[in-house]
Amino acid sequence: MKAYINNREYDFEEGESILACARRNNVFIPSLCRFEPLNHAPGTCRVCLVKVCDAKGSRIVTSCDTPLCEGMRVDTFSKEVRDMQRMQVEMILADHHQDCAACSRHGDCELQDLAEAVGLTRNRFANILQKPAAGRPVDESANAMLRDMTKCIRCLRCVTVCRDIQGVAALTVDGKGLGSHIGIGMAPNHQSSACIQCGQCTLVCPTGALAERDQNDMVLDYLSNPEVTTVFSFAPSVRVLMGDEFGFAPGTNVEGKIVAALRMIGADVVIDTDFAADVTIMEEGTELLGRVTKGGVLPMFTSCCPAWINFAEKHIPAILPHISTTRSPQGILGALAKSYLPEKMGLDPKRVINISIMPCIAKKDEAARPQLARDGVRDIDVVISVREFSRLLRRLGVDLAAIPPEPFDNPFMSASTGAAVIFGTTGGVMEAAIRTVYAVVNNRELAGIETTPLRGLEGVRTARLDMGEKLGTVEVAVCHGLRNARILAEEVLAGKSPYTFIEVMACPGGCIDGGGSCRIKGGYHPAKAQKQQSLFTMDRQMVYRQSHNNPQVKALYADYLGAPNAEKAHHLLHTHYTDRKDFQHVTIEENMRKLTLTE
Amino acid sequence: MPELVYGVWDGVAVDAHNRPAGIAMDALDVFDTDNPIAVLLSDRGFLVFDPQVSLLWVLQKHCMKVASESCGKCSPCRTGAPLLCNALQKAMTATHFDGWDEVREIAQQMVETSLCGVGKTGPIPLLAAITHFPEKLVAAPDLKHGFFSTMTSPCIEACPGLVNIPRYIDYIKDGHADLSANVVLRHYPFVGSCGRVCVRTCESKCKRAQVDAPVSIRNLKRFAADAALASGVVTPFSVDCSRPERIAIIGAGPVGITCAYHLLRRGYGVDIFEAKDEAGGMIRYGIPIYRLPKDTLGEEVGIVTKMGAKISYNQKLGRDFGIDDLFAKGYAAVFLACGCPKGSYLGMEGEDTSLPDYENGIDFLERVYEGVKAGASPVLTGDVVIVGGGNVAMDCCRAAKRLATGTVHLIYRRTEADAPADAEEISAAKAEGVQFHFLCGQKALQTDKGKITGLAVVAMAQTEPDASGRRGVTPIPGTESVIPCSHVIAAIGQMTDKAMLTEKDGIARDRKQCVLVNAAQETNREGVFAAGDCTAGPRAKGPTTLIMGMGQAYFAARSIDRYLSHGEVSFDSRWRMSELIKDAHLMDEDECVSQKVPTKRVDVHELAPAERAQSFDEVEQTMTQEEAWKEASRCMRCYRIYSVVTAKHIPGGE
Repeated sequence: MKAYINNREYDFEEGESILACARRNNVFIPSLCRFEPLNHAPGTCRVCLVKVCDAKGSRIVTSCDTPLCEGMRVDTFSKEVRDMQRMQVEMILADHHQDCAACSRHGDCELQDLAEAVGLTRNRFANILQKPAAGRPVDESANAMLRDMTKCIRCLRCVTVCRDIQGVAALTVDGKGLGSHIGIGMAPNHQSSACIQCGQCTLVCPTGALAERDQNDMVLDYLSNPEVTTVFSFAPSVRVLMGDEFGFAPGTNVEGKIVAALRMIGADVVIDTDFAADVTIMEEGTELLGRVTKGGVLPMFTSCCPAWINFAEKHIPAILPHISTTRSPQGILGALAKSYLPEKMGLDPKRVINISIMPCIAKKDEAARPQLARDGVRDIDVVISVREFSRLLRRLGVDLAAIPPEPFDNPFMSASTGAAVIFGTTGGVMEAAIRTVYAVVNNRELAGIETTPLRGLEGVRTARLDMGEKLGTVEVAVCHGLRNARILAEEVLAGKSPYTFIEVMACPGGCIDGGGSCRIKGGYHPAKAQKQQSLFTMDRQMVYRQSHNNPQVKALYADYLGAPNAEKAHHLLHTHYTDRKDFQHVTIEENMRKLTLTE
Repeated sequence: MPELVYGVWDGVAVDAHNRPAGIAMDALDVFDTDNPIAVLLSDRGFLVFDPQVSLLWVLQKHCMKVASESCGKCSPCRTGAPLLCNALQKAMTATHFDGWDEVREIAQQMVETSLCGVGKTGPIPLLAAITHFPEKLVAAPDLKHGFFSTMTSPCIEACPGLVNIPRYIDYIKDGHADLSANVVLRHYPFVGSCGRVCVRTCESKCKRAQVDAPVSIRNLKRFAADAALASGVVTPFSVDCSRPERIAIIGAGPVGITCAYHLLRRGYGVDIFEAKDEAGGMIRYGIPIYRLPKDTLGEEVGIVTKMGAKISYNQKLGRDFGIDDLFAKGYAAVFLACGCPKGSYLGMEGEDTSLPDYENGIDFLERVYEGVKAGASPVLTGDVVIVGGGNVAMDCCRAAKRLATGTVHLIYRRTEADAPADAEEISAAKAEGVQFHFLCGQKALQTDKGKITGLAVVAMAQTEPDASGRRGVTPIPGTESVIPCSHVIAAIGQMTDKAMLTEKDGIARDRKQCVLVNAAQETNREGVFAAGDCTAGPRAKGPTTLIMGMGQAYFAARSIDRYLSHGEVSFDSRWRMSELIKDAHLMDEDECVSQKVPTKRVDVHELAPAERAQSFDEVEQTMTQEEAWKEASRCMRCYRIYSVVTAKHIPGGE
């Protein structure tokens, strides 16, 4: 079938929208709410206006929800169309809180891009409406994120990612008219809501309505405080993510540059979360073996991902006994950096301030868990996301591209292995665990250590593994995106799961596309394959590829902890979970008052 | 006929000589008693009957309604409507207003680019006035006219309960199943029951049919009920009776319970008298369990008992007490909802109602219900013939199919297209193996020694359409035949129980013994109100649908409240607006919707026909959350706003 866009002929398929056909053929039509990677086209921004002419005559339509028909003529940029597109943007701006300079999306805002695309040169309706943001909340209650609804443009992308990718459905549409906004269901505030603070919504929000809680000033306060010893660490995936904001090709490993940058800004000690990831494997692998051999609760789920833990606690608490009690790498690092490290380095543990750099914003919420504190003192003092760290470096005038790399040099907590590096991608924790569990059980290294069936980006991947004479064949599964995790967990609760060990990472792709990673305008994790491959390449280049071969890990157990899961290790490196499912009730009469009906 | 001074309708300037096409002007004289309509505004334009009214003031009021109804999702309507309100406010107070170009631009943008009917149609009267009568847009003082405005849609107007359907669909899409259920709970407590068995007149008017297929409205309502009520998220509340009066309700069917629900919400004490030993009336006994599981019904009846209603069972009007007894006991008002509990017979040759294998549909369905409940379903040995083409006939044949050892036939004298039964019920019955014979009339019951041996039938032919366009049927001579069978079920209608009311009760009835009521659901006897199957009034006569009955119950409760509060019932402006829309043909039936990318209507999961024909398990399953979001997003929100300005204040208006 054929139609004409700006007098050029294009083929289209029945039912295809004008916008889809235009995009396919690189014809630009400005739009805001549409988000192609999630097939999201709610038609709320009404900017993608075009003029069509067909058998029914000519008229203005939105191109996102109008199908092409045979012989239709579409005009995307005549004066009439441009004027109406521009007016639409003026109307969007009429109730948008335009404090652009103070916005988290400063310089990176899709609404500003849109204004440029439609040629906005004046803003007729700004400041006309009285209290345009009335009834729209600014909620700062959540540990990891901010919800500033005065900046919401009702594109509903966040609702779609929360439902379709994460299966969480914490976000709702509330209010009406100028007060319409994204709500958090029936909960009184964000922190207590069903939101798990994974941050995927912050990656798709075109404005600064949903954003991470920026804690850079806390970091700067500690850096400028001579009384404290700042201990910085960063997660495996951070080394392939930080390049994004400094002009590197996707997936470039900038580990050495990050180490150098941290020293430049005044970090007292720089250690590696990779080291803690290896310790995680020692603990979690030993725990798994214990559950298998002593008849513990199986299958066992991984516990590294804080958004997954929030999801389990808030949405399917029945699964909690199945989750490994081993702390996440960040939790392990926090405990050791305030006990083992000061002891070894002769520091005052009370003056140690742990600052971690994460691809994740849920790690901020994890660090605030009472389970990760001792005597009221948090093991991790501040968590900043990759986005914040990039912003911090810009604030301090540090250009990652311009500085030469430097190696880690801490003799206690900075050695890494290939197993730790791949923690940053979906499937990596599982693969790392298999390498170590196999070696522990069989007293020899696994021959082919790259578990191919578990690699890749399919939502759920499974494998039947030969784990040697003692364990025999073991079935395992890895999944990413909580929608998939829910499916596997419900299978477990129904008694129908064939697996022994299940890895969950909340974000699609794993930490390489965490909710704290860089936002890519209009894209949703476009480079996850390159980032994953980059981690796999790093794994191959490492001297040690198994956690149990990390020399500093060996030293940790020999000098300090004894053995994995032994008393001291258990005390320091394990945690527990609580049922936080909040079942909200409301009476018919209370709900009557919430209805937005006028008659 | 009211005098039209000027106006614009469907884009054409109109006046006393050039009247708007297609609308019945006679219907537009008064809104309520002695209160002439001065101006009418709608999605199609505006009509001015009283030039004294300031057009600018009227348009501003209408725009304020648009702004207050805007959902806020799409930008032109969300910010355009308040921008228009602002500008019009300025125009009303400024000595010289020069912003009309911008007002027109905003209004035009809203109409051409808004996502739904609110923004697309709300500014049409304003645009029409700017285009055709700019000289009328001058500041003038408000002369204290009455104003009333309603936002509605084709589906809402098609619903006898006037439930705000797009709003409850939107709440599902927005992630608020609890509020969705509450939209329906404003009207009746039987959200899950109606969500399963409603005749859904709304879906037949759904404009989405022009794009692909109607929105699955009923199934969405059921989803909301399951997600919010059955799950226990939304709970009943016990009411403090703030009013001293108690009201007696006769009949614990859906109509009686719904009226009780609304009275309890208004603070009245309620006692319900039920002739049988369980509540639910026709939807308990008349609707088979495979369509409506009785635990759902029980929970919904439970809403009113938890709110404080007392139900006395085995208390039958006319046998155990009369109307006078109730007033003597001190009840301030009485509400009759005694239904039509008697089935009709066919009145054909050879008919003998004493034969155990010849029964009416109502008795049959009750017998099946009691049997299934007791765990001993009745067995129908041999072949069965059901006579009728309505939903009761479908319930009978599908229930019979689950019980009969032989073939189940259904005969209906008209065509399949003429059958009043829901088309989906007919296809479900066919799928389960019921043999349908359309254009087939019953002639005689054939018996041998007290046993039915067959039903003599004759083929029918359609006659030419009569003046109303309806085609009758007439037997074709020489086509007589016999369907051998051992059971015949007459499912052709139901009647009131004549013994319930006597002369002494003083309640006027029609010749079918239905209680006569007015639009306020009042009977001729002071303090006695009635609704549902047992009544004949302006809304419906005799046996009616669940949703119509519950709609009447809502109005009856409202009337009872006004009667007890003010000594008289007054008119309901919302209801009157619907009447006006209908009587004056204000809604354009042929209106075309803009083309959209088609999306498939969500089919709910059903038990397979072979499986379900063996059991009384519920056939239709509820939608999943994902399906409900998807289906809800198909709703196009065909809202439009009607406003009237009248000479005097409108009760319930501004």
